[in-house]
Amino acid sequence: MTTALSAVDLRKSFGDFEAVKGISFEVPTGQTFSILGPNGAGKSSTMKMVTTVSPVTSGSLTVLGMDPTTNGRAIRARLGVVPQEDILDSEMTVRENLVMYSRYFGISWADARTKADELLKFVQLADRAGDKVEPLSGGMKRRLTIARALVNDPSLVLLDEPTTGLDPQARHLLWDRLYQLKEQGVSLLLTTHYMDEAEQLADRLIIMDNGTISAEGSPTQLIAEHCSKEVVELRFDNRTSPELQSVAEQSGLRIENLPDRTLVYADDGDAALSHLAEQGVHPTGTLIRRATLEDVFLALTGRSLNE
Amino acid sequence: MTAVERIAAQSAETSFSRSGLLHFFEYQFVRLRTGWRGIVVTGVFTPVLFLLVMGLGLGELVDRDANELGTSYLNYIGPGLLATTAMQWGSQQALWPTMAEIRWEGGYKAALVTPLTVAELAAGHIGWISARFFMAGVLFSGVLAGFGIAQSWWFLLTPLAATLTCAAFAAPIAAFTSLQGNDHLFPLIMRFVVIPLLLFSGAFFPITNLPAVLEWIARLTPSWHGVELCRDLSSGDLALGSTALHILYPLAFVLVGYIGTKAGIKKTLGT
Amino acid sequence: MTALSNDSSGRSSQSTAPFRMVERNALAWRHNWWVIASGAFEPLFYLLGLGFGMGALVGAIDVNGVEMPYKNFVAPGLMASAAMNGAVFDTTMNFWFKLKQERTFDAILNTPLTLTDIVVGELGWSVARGAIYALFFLIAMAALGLTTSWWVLLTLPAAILIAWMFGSLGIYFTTYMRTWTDFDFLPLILMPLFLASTTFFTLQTYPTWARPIVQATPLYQGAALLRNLSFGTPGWNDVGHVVYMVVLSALCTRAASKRLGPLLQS
Repeated sequence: MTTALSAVDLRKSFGDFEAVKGISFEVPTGQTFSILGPNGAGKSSTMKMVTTVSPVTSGSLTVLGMDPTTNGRAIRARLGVVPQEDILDSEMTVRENLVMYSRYFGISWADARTKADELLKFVQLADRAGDKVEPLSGGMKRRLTIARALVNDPSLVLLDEPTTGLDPQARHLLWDRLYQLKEQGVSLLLTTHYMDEAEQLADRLIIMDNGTISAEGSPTQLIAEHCSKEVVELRFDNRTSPELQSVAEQSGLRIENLPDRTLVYADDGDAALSHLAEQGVHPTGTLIRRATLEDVFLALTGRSLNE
Repeated sequence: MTAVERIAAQSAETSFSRSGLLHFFEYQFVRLRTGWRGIVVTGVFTPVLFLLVMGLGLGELVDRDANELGTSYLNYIGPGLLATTAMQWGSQQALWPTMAEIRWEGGYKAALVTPLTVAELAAGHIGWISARFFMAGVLFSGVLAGFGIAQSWWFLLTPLAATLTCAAFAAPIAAFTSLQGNDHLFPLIMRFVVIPLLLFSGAFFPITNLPAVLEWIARLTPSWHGVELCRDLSSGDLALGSTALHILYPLAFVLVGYIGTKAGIKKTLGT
Repeated sequence: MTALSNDSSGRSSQSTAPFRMVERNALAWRHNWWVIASGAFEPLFYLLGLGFGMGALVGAIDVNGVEMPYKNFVAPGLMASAAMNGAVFDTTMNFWFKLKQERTFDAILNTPLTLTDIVVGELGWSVARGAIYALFFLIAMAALGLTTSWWVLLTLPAAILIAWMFGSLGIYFTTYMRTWTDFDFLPLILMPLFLASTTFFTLQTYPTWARPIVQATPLYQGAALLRNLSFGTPGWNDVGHVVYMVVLSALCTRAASKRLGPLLQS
């Protein structure tokens, strides 16, 4: 299997502050790889190094078989970048945005126009082709940004928090387009702080926290390794239950206290719940659900992702 | 947030639409900010600079031989500069900042929800532009006096006279602005109305030096009347008939402009 | 531009890549082209007003012992400021808009274009705008009978140099701007430059102490060069003007690129 991207002991410092503290990972060609972590984990700094815009402080980075420090132009020619903020060109129409972006890649005007129409169809914006960018909704702008990242038929597409700030409908439409790209064999590298997004899209992922990698694997693998199958969410009138702590310790159940609720990790949620009831724990609200990457993150760092 | 709102948030004083921005530099030389900084720049920096370079420097060339102006070139252009500065202030303020109030920032839409009437709003807007110029005008006249340009007690009235010129441009241009959906035509107003009037209103040289047709056009502009009024007040050489004309003619522009602005705001904001 | 062609990541400028920025600006201005076009008229109004209107008041002017009509004297100075204004429009406020407000450059840096391409391209566009204004002005001068020597043809390349100088100064200045309001200072710089650059009268009119100050300003250098070429009296001091402008332009271009690096690539 060939690699689209590999990082070995990659570091990025801004003065005294080390944003990325020596991370190593590999993105196999054709796969969707996700970097998951809270704000400030070092995801965007990593992304900027991969896009060759930000110089690597130390360690080695290979993008599409090339070194970003010497082959920036050649690498960028084969990358598609969806930055965290759309940064569309507000002085142009929707279609002109795509046409001009193609020109930056040295694509001829004629090809650029054909490509623009094709991509506008792909992201369902064909009817807005002649409009200015400003009145578009957040989801539309995002789709346009994705279309823009595809003008050069990239081998690797980088998406930095692609669905942040979008409503659920817009997110699903976007995910659907990303699936289609994946099916076409495009390698995707995406950062997100949404666990469900990573679970939906990623073949493999790393969880980043505070500039380092705290876990790596496929979503199911990570859940199996770091979490129980199910999670029971308990709510109490007075926020916590004093007896729960001791009961859990006795029965060997792992629990996690959050500000508004308590999580109990168990492979069989129903059984755990009835066991707790027998021991005199009576929550006012309960919910049994499948464990998610969110729980993995919590287990690894002791913090919830979006706090 | 739209681009406009974002920029407005950054700069509380003025707001620019994206297209406004394209044209931003098109009027930089006459761009006068609304705050104190703008008043001081207009009232002190502008006259000092122009009087030194044009009044004294160029004046040396003009006054070399007996000139046709009947006074020194410094005395000649001082009051003229005051009036043309008033014109530029009034025009510029009636374009972008007025657009910002009426459309981009929606301040006037909000104001009309209160008991404030459209008439009050229109009068207040033109009045506020003029009042701020008046402050700059007082400083400006002070500088002129410092250069020894004041030759009569009537000179004390020059800030008021210039404020009339300011309003004579602010009112009709605000009426125009209130009917515009965007600021695309604004640079053209600055470029093809304000700049030519700056040069051809008799502030720098007598309009009698112009071809006859242009001379008569110049006589029809409120800026020429403003220049003449300021100059007459400065020299004390007042004649009842011409002074009355120099006051009443620009005043008519103020009135017509006010009525137009009222109607424009009413139409645009739908009250 | 060799000084520019290698940034920290060793990305060198591909020959036609900067032209993409020119294309981008042309596309962006497509619907507002007349804003640019109308800008060419402004210096003409000044020429008519000052050259002809003022000219009647001033009469002839003595330039280094040669008497000439005032309009002939002011024309080249106004041409220099036309080149300056044309170049400054797009390298200050409009550049800042793309740099900080809309972050257009950030998006472009994700394409094969480099920072150097962007700086060279943006400068090229601004220089072109300044040059077009200067050319338009030159044609008007000729039509009004204000050209007296074939040397005047060299005012065009000289105007391009003036545009480059002010374009690079503009970008350099803009890298220090934090908000819109910071640009309030710009007219406070440009206006005195315009007025004090000996466009309206010769250096000899200034008091002796003020002359070196005036001579040190960039627009004076440009105006003086254009005058000598326009009057058909080039001399060795014009080599000095050219050197001054080339050195200042190169320094500013380099300094601006250096400052843009950290602003765009952190």
